[in-house]
Amino acid sequence: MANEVYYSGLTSSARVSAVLSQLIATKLADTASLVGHPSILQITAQPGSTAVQVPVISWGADAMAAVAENASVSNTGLTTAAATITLARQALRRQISDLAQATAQGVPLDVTLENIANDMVAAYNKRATTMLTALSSGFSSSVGSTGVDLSVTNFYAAIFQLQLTANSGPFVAVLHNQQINDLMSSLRSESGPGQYLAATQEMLMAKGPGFKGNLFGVDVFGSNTVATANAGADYLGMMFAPNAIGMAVASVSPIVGATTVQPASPVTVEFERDASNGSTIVVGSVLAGVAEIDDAKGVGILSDF
Amino acid sequence: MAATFGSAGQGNYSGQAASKPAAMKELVKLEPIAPWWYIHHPARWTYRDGEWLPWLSELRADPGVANVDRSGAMDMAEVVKRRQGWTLIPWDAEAGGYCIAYEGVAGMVHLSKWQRPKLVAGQTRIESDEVGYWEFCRRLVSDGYIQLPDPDFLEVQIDRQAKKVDEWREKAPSSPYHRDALAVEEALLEGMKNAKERLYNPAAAAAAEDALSVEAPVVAPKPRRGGRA
Repeated sequence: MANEVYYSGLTSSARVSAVLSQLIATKLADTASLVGHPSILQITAQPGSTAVQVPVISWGADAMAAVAENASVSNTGLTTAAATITLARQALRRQISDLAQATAQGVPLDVTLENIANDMVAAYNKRATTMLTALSSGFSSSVGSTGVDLSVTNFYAAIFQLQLTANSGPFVAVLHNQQINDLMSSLRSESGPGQYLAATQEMLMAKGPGFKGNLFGVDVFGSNTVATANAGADYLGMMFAPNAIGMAVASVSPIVGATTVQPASPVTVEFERDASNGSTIVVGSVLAGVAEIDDAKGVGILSDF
Repeated sequence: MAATFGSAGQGNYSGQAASKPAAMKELVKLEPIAPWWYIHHPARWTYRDGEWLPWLSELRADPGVANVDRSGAMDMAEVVKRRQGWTLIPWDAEAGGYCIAYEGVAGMVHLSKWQRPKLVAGQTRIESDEVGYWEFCRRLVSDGYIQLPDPDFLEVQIDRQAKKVDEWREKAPSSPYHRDALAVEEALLEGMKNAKERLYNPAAAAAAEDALSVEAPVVAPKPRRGGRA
């Protein structure tokens, strides 16, 4: 017998060794985002400077005092301060060749020019979240100890610290996912009225990826962008009251020559054609800055790595 | 002046060790980290293994973050931090500098001298020399870069631990978890108090300990997580 049709005989001609699945899976990525969170002071920078100054005025801080009859009252100055946010360009560039585009299958999530452009918003969200979580190292108040796992006691200590400085909620905690695991482990041994409300799909839709739930009235976000501390021995998350930190974004659109600007986003996405090597460059950029606005409104949360 | 050429054709070739092509260069698979400086706030002290040590933060030259300008200049960032009472620790506080740069896949990765990236089974891990790092923190105090803390800052943490111990004592009768861990928390509280005494009155504390011949309670070191290098 001869000339049977075997698969092995077809692999170099009538069969290909592999076909890309029509369903493309996305690789696991930490997409937690704090962009646009209402507890973060959002500022649209005005033209004029890369430094955005935020006046901080203590209305209601000065009480009246008793004055004797016929005595003059002296002036009391307003308590004011100013926080500054410095803008800088944040950008991501990708380049895709014509051949790579021509061989795209047309299925969702494939590597195409459009998907690369759309991914720029996610890239901005990740960068902005990284910038915001970096601010945890700047609060002078802190709770927790090096080498000790995060516990409910420390979580409460952070709430108490904010309440002690007369902050009003709602408070937001931004923790590394390891800290959240430790917190949940600690919760297992707790009893009493405290309750952890895990994030539901509706809450995720409303508060964005990274939202883990609500514990004792505090919105808890988890992100692996939370920085380490003490030479990698610990993680340093934070809890803050509204307007403890601020984010300024400068709008640069419309830009002459820019072909696409993502709607409802400060991200400018531009295409650049390099005909000589048959490729298209996609650049997403944003002018943004973050800074601490009021030190007394935030507290660092230190716990073991 | 006439040039003098060596004689040709002697075959005295010199060689050197081969280096990998640029594409094969081993780069640290971590996201870029900008250069940074350690900073310290007078309120930030932490208790570790029987002593109070300064707890350092990092001020990164990351444009757009905490008043670092678009070019990475730190002038404004430093002024803001100093106004808030922070002390900036210069790189030369440690011989050879404490901020070390590694070439990463997407840019330079700046880690501390006591962190070392390594590749284990395809994963990038960071090995931490915690003993070396805390020794550095200790030296910052003895070398005068960081002043001793105001006792109030330590007292706040001791009070917090005391409250925790009180809570756990109440829970211990009905909770095996709290009952088992209570002794550790009590020892931690005692250790914090003793360490505070040693910090401000080292001679008196040593004499008292000698007289009593009582060792300060030592908290058993917590086992590291299995996955960590």
